[in-house]
Amino acid sequence: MTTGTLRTDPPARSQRFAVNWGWLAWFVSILWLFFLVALPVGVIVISSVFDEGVSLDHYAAFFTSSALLTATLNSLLVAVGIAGLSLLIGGPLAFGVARTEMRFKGLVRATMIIALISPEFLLAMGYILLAGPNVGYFNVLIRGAFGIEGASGPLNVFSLGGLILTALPNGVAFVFLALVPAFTNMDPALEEAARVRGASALRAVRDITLPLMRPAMLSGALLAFATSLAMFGPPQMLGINVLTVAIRDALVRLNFATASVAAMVLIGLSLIALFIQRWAVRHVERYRTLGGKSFGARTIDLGWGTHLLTALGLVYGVVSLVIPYGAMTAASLMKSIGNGFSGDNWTLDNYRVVFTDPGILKAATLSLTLATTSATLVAVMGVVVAYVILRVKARGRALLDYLAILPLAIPGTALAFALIVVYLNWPMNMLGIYGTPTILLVAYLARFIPLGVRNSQTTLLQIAPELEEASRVFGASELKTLLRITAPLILPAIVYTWLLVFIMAIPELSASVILRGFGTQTLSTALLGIWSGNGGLAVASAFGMSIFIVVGVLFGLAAWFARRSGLLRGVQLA
Amino acid sequence: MAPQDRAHHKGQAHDLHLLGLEKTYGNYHAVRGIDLHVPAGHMVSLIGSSGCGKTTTLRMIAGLETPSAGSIRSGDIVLSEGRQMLPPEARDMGMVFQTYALWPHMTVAQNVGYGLAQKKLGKAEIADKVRQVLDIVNLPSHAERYPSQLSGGQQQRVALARAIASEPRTLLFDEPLSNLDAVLREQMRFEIRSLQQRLGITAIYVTHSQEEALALSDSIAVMREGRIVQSGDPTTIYSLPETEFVAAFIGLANILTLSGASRDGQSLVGRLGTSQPIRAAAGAIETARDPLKICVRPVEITVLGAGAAIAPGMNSLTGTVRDTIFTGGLVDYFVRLDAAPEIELRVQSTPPIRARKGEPVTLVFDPSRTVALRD
Repeated sequence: MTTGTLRTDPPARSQRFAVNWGWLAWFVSILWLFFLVALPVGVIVISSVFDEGVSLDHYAAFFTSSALLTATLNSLLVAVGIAGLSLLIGGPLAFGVARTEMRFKGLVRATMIIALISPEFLLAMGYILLAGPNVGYFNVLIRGAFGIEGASGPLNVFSLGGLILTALPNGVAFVFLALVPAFTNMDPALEEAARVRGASALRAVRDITLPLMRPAMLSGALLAFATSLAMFGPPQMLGINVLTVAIRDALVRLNFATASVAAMVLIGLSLIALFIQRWAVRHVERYRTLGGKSFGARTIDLGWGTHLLTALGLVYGVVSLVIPYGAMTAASLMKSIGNGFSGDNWTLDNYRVVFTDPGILKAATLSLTLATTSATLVAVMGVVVAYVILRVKARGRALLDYLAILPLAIPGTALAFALIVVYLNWPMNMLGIYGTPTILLVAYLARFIPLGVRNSQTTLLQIAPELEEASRVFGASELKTLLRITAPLILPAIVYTWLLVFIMAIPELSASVILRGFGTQTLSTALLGIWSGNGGLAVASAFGMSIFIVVGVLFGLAAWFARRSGLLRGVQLA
Repeated sequence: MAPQDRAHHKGQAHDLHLLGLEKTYGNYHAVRGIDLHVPAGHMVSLIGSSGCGKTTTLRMIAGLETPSAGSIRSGDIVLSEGRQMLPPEARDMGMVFQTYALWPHMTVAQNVGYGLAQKKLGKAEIADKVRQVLDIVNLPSHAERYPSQLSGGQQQRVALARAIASEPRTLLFDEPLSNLDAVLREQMRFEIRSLQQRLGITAIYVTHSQEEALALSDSIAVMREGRIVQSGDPTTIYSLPETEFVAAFIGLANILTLSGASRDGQSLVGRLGTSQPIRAAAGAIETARDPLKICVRPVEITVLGAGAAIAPGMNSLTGTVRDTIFTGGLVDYFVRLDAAPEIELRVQSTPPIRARKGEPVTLVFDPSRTVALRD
């Protein structure tokens, strides 16, 4: 700096420039969230009340249609059933793993993680192989063992109860993952106080531990409830009429009015669940901040209770992990599923088909392209939106914050319906993306926005503004500061988001199945086609296991990366 | 660093001038017109309780806040004039942040060399300079560590090294010691002071600790509600506070309110309740006020037994010891005054203990050490 006079112009311009960066980010964020979130949601709302003028006729029609009322009832029954059973199973297991000396903790943990990363249709396939009424292994075994006459039963997975059991492991995993940290972080002194006053160990758990866990239990159960409402694959495969399936059926019959009302009902229920869930979690966070210090997980001796937990963990792990995945693996290696476990029935041909079939390879290429593109865009835009929400002093930041998490409450089928309406009608139809891979990309982007924004928000919150200010003071321009300080610090969040979105995009089903055109099969829609068509269950099993292995390896990579970069704390999976 | 280096730097030092500096956030006036001159090579402390505007002032000097009005000059360069300002990176400053603000993804050497790299120095030159500066702050072997591998005190030293590495025109300190424990704080205090004097860089030091301000600075500016209420060198601020606020903020003070005050030659005289006349010969004595507030430091008061002879011309008050506390180097006495029982004077003197709880005493203090306050 050698000039002796005030250089009015350069600094003034640089100031204006600085404001422009923020405003540019703000503007891009608004556009991004408007087109991907606000527009589809708005379209669902409008088309549900609009029929040559505003009316509630669609709703009236909906609530007088017994098929749709059944679908709503089924959806609620399934979601409530899964949430309730998840608490009953996931709660004790979380407590057992976090606070007792139960055995098989590793098996329980593995079951939870695998349930969480499994494509939603995978377990359904496994259970259909096991409990399909005619040739399900269990049914064949039971009929043989008890000499039951006939060719079907006694178990039937194609039922409401079957659907609940099929989708249960995912819900159990949500409850488990919400509760383990809560149990671990709890101050054991609270329980000890109760025991000092003469309460038994079980009584201390009942009177002290459980009430303290209520927010985490509520949070996990509501997540289980919301994801159960949103699932499409299992009910479709089991032929159960729930709301997501009803939306698709209405669309197939081009009945947009019914589809819109079904979507509204679905979104309304999800919104309520997610709203309560966020409220519950906020309560938990406040509680945790007050505590501050971390307590070494202290185990409690429950006596025979410990053995009960061990038994529960073992049975659960076997029933929801070992047997279905074992069945899938076995089926994927069989020449003919009907011939069962005989010595000459084994082959690797199914996998050879999976890796050579031109249709599957084409679908794989499309899924990989979609996953790569959506992961990249979601990760980058997540940083931009989070930056605007946290660092730019501009209007509408609270609105952006809400829009960015709204997709969590929009099931994929409902979103896909909304995108059809948007991109089939003027003016967006001029883009001509309906039926192309682009509309699938739009759906993936919208679905995964919350993941990108929340991960970046957590990371940005940990980067103190002083780090950027120090860079300016020590001579770096705003752009250089962004490149040298902010970008490297936020990079781990970007990579982690990228991996997670990629993992979730590869097996995406509920939006893809509605939006795909004839030429745009994704991995999951191709798999569903082979499963229900003439490709054969064995090939479908090999196909499903292949997807699962790819996703599992990637998840392992993401987990390793998160642990290495210290990101695991605070970053959320969904 | 050799003496000629110091002379070299002294020769380059620039003074810093704040004129009518203001900052408003909406309706809130954080800074309401600061005039301050920091002579070249001097260190000035801005001190005040939280919310007084001291940090905002520092951030305006750094260029991290845009002033609402007023100007800032460093030497003959205008840093800001009204709302027009040089960006922070063009100001050639070094700054130590309260949180240190070390970049966690860079090694100590990269942190310290960052400013040098921005000045487009060569790699070898940067490495040389970094080594030199790390020597100065006694961390020669920590260059390749990451900040998270250092203790709080070491992080503080790295922050200091980073601030001085590029030999800035101005050094800014934003409560740099508030996150350290007491022992380390005192040690760093001396190190910062000797370093700043050795380098001869003009410096501003923001703190809420009067001890730090007194020990570190060439002069102190006491701030309150966005204004400087008094500034001067540490001894003047301490011995001649102009207001009750300054007297109470810097050091311990007994504030007494005298009634019937009037001028008597070179001093002001008044009574505390029913006491003998008390004379204040220091401070704002140009005009007599009634009532008149005066300040006497606890260490300026001598404790004598009841009825002891009093030297002519000294102020004296009688009272009863309510409590005595022995703290090692000093004894604290809390004395309830006979002339005004609702008032308790605090007295500090070196051991031995001269009076115990419940004993009557006479307190004596010099009128030339008794300061008349403006308000």
